[in-house]
This record gives sequence, C-alpha cells and structure tokens, in this order.
Amino acid sequence: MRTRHIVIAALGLVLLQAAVAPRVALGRIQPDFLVVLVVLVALRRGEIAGSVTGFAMGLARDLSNPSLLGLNALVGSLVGWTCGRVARQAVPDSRFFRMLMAALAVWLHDAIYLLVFHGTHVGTALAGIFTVALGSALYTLVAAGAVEPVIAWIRRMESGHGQAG
Amino acid sequence: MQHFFATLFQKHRDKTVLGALVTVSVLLLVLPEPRQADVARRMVATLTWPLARAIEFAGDYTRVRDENARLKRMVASLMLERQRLLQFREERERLRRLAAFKEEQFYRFTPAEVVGRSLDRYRTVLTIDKGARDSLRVRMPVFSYEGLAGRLVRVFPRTAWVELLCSRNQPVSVMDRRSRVVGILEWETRDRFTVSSVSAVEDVIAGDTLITSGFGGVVPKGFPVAVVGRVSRASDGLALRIEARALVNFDALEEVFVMTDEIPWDRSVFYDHADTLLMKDILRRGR
Repeated sequence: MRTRHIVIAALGLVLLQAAVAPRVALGRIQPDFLVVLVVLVALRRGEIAGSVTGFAMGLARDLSNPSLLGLNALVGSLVGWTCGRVARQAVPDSRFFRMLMAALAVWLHDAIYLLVFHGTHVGTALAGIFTVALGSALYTLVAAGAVEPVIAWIRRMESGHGQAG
Repeated sequence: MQHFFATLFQKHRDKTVLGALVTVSVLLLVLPEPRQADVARRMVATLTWPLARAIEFAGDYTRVRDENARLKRMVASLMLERQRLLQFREERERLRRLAAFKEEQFYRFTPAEVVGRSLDRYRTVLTIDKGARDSLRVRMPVFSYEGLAGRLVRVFPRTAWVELLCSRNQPVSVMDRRSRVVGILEWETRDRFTVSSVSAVEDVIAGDTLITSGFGGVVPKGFPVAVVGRVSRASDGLALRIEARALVNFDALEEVFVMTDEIPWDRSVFYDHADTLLMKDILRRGR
C-alpha cells in the first residue's frame, strides 16, 4: 500500500518536473521536485528505500537524456542513501526541516553531478555548484511548499495504513 | 561463499543495496554512447509498453466504435435499398413474363488460378488449375475482373486451356453499350482489336464501351469486352473501320473466372436468411 502511494506520488512529481519546472525556471535555475520525493522517502523509510527511489528517479531523468546514462541514477542513489542515513539521527518532524533537507539534497545532488560531469575541470564544476546548483537548491526550498500537499497526502495515507494495520 | 554474501547482506543491507545500485549506475555510465542510447530506448519502450498498449487500445476502440456506427447506418440504408430492389425485381419479372421475354439468368462463376501460359504469334493459351472435376466444359466463357477474357478450348481432369480473345480464331459478337450497334470483334495485335460488319451510317464513337451481344450463344449478353478507340470510314465507304482496345490486360492475368452455370434470376440470393437476421439484430441494438 505504501509503495503504491510512493509510485503515484513519483508519477505526479515526474510530470511536475517535466511540465512545470522548465516553465518556472529562472535561466538555468529550476526547482527539483524529484529530489524532494527522494528526500521524503528517505526520511520516512530509511536508506534502502531512499537509495532505490533515488536510483529510480535518477534513471527516469537519465532516460530523457541518455548521453550520460546512469549518472543521475548514481547521484540519486547516493543522495537517497545519505538522506536515509541522516534520518537515523533524531531529526525534527517539521515542514521546514523537510524543505531544508530537500534544498540541501538538491545542492548535494547537483554538486556530485557537476563534479562527475566536468571531471578534471574542477573550476567549472565549482562555479556551477555555487551558482546554478545553489540557486536551484534555494528555489527548491521555496517550491517544495507547492508540493507539500502531496507530501502531506502520502503521510496521511501512511498514517492511515499504520492505524489500520 | 554464499554464506559470506548472506551474512554481508544481513549485516550491511543498506550498503549492499547502495553498492548494487552504484554498480548498475556505473555500468550504465561506462557504456559507449550509442549503446547507452540503445539501452535507454529499450528501457523506455519496456516501461511505456502498457501505456502505449492502452493508448493503442483506446484508439482502436474509438475507431471501431465510429466504424460500427457508420456500418449500422450503411446496413440500415442497404436493408431499405434491398427491399426496394426486391420489389423492382418482382415487378421486372412480372413485366418480362407479360411481354413473354426470355427468362433472364443469374450466373455462377468458378474461380481459377493461371498456372501456365503458352504464347505464339496467332494463338494465346493459358492453363488454369481447374478442370473437368470442377465441372468445367469446353466452350465455357472465361472472365477476368475487367471483363471477357476468352473461352475454354481443352478440358483435362484437373486443368484446362483457355484461349484468350487475343487469338486469331476468337471473334466475338459485340454490341455498343450506348447505341446498341452490333459488330464482330477481331484481334489485330497485342491488345488492339477491330470491329467489323458495322455499316457506315451506324452511331459508334470513340470511348464507347463494347459489351458481349449474346448472339453467338456461347457468351451471355452484357459483359464488357473493349473500349472503342479510333473510328473512321473503311476504304469502300460502306462500312466503319473501328479500332478498339481490350479491357482485360492479357499479359497480367493471374486469376480468372469460368462461367459454369446459370441460375434463374428470381432464385438467386444476395445473402441468406441468417445474414438477414443478423442485420435485423444489429439494427435493433443500434436504436
């Protein structure tokens, strides 16, 4: 039941990322809804679910531009696993914390991506990390509020399932 | 070894999963670019297969529904048309009986495939895959989709020879469909024919269709044979010199139809009782 809700939310956020994010982009800076989902799942379900969701979301992104097939999947897995590991600590269950985690995850995601993508051109990668990646992270912090109803719905579903079970 | 991996997975499940995912990602990443595109295309095709099938099914469903509605309308109009035609047929037969006309016949054709061809300068003969066992007899007329093609000259148990119209000894009595002028169609060369025995005062013009006249008693009346080409006066000034071109492409005959039987017109059926019931059922459900 829970997995089904995650799949539904993932499909919705993939559509949101494909249809809405490019339209609200500020130059190359745009919110990353897929990482928001990865963070949510990782915070709620741990490292394994986080890394699998990150891999799946990354692969979905890779399939739309297969010139570096696997890079987003790799970065997504690492980000999901890291967020899951963070969730093991005593973390506050607040909306702001989740949004902040999403922003940090986007920054981490883009940082790893740019470092692998640019390879030996570390200067170019660092420039990207502190401009586009940071901008996208801040934009995601704001835009994550828009997907909060989806997140809340999943939480309600999970709570309902827990009570029923 | 197996125990080692089982223990490793039990102790470090999250790291093992991450390691597997990272390995798969790196394997994808190190593929050559054309191979990456190929893998991505296959993955997308596999993942979107149910959706593609659903879209295809929805498209098919819409098309079939529209087609069904269209066919129902067609069936309705054809049913009415059939009723009218049946009335006309009865009326026509009544009038023909009143006028003591010959009873008109409906024809039955046996389809046959061309399995051999013998070409010489004066006689063109085809071999077909039906013979005496299929009730074929010598002199039966042979047709193609376009019109009269020839007649049977030899019949064997399983095969038969068809002498085509484009042979020296195959004159056919024809009639101008428009003006009902009768003449004799004879082969000249390739698909060119001439029509003889037509008086200079008769009304024949280029583009008229020539049909069988039925006078020879071999080929029934009314089947198309040729189209009139150039019309001029013969050298004696008394007859018309009419050139015609056959409707049948004699070089491309692959299947032909041998007229094997004649059925009285009023006993012919367009479709049987079961078809009529089916149509009525379709119309009832369509309302």
